[in-house]
Amino acid sequence: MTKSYASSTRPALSDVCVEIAKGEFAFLIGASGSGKSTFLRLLLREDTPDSGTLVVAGHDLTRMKSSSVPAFRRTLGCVFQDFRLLEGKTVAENVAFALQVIGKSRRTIDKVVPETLEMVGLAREADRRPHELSGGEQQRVAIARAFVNRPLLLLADEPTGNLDPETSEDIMLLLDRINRTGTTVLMATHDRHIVDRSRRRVVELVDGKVVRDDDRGTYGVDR
Amino acid sequence: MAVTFIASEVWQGLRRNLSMTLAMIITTAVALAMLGAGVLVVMTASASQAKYDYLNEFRVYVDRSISLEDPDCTSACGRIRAELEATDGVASVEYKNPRQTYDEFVELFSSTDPVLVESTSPDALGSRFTLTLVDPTRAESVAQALADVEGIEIVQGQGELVERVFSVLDGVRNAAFTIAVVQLLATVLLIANMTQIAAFTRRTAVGIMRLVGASRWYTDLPFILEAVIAAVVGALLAVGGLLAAKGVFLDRVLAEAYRANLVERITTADILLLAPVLVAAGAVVSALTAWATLRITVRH
Repeated sequence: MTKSYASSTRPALSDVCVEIAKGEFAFLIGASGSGKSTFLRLLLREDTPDSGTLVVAGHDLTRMKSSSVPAFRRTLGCVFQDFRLLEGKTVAENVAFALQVIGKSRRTIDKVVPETLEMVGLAREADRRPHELSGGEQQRVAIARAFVNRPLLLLADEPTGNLDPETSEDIMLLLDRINRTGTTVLMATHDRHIVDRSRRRVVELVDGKVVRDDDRGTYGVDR
Repeated sequence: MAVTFIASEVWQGLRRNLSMTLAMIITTAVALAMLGAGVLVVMTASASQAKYDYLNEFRVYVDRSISLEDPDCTSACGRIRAELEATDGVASVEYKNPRQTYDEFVELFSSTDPVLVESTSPDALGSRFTLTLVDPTRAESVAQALADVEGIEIVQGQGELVERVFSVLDGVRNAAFTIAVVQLLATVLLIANMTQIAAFTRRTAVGIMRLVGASRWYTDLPFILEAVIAAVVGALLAVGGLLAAKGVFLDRVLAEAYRANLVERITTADILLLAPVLVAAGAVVSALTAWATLRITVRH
């Protein structure tokens, strides 16, 4: 697929052809401006490619009607570098929010939220507010919120970007655990250390083109 | 679940944006009170109009000789009648023969001036036509058209006076409506602004809702409801304001006019009848404004 923006002469993504299998864990690497964010935006159906096809979890996003987008997004989970937690809500309320806004019943929420908090290791912090937590803990809340609806695909945009190496390692372990439940994980990152240690699939973008797609790759040299 | 959740979002939204909410309530109240006042003036004006209809009539007195020769209005008087009926702008023609006009005279003056009645013989008065006009404001042109008809004397109605009274009422109504329109415009802009600010302050929550697959309605509804609640409270204040204005000010100012039966009374029932219209207008305008603002400014 190809995607251009009016503000730039060079396409943001040019003839990108990638297939990520169900249940896979893949890193998306590349310098700033290489097209990683555009790639994730297209997967989230925040935008559509200019040409080509894009199929996510069985849905052809290039032909999807706007009215079907919310239902499609319920099959995805998203985690960001800046956590994006709601300060006015407790940890449990932040996680529950993702279910409330898609109309889940209180019974479901009361059952699933504690389970998910348990899974990310924050069962005891349920009633605390985000600002009372460390960065790593906040990211765990964000991951819990992304995972609480058991998505088919988890998109993580620089999830360790604001965290120290040790905490980043914990977050990686958590994402790995989620991956082992069958959820496909695609993680955009700049974190050389994590990519090198994980030895997972690595897709590298340079100027909107896929220059490398290694099965058990590393971050690479001189980058 | 959905109802509880949206209700709590709305409550928090209104509280967090308190000053803006208050501003919107006040502006809506003023705009709708003006609109209500305009409607009440129109209602009163048209109800009062009937009281003044008789002033618009033309009285056409037929020469005494013709009257006495032709009391049944078939020959000479009949021709005058035909001419009157054929005149442009005349809506109806009513005939009273000399006997009837005398009876009318007697009835009118027997109690106040019996001497006058005593000294007037039954054949002293001629017959008379009463004309009503299609459009009272065109009385002058009708008077000109009738000037050439022989054997009659015309007494024009008080159309001009009525016109003046109603032009004052029309002016009051137009002023109220103009202020209402300007106020409504300000209200619409304020609602749009309030919705935008509310959506901006809660952009993280809206963004999360969008990403986890909340439907557009789920995302928009709290904002729309906030605007509607503020507008409905404003509308209720407007109704309260109109009732207070009636009790404290209007009834006192118009007391004389009411007593003299010059103006139709504005009743509490009139205002209460108007209340649902104002509430509905406030709710619809605010809902549409908030909805359109979200469509334009919030990406989904």
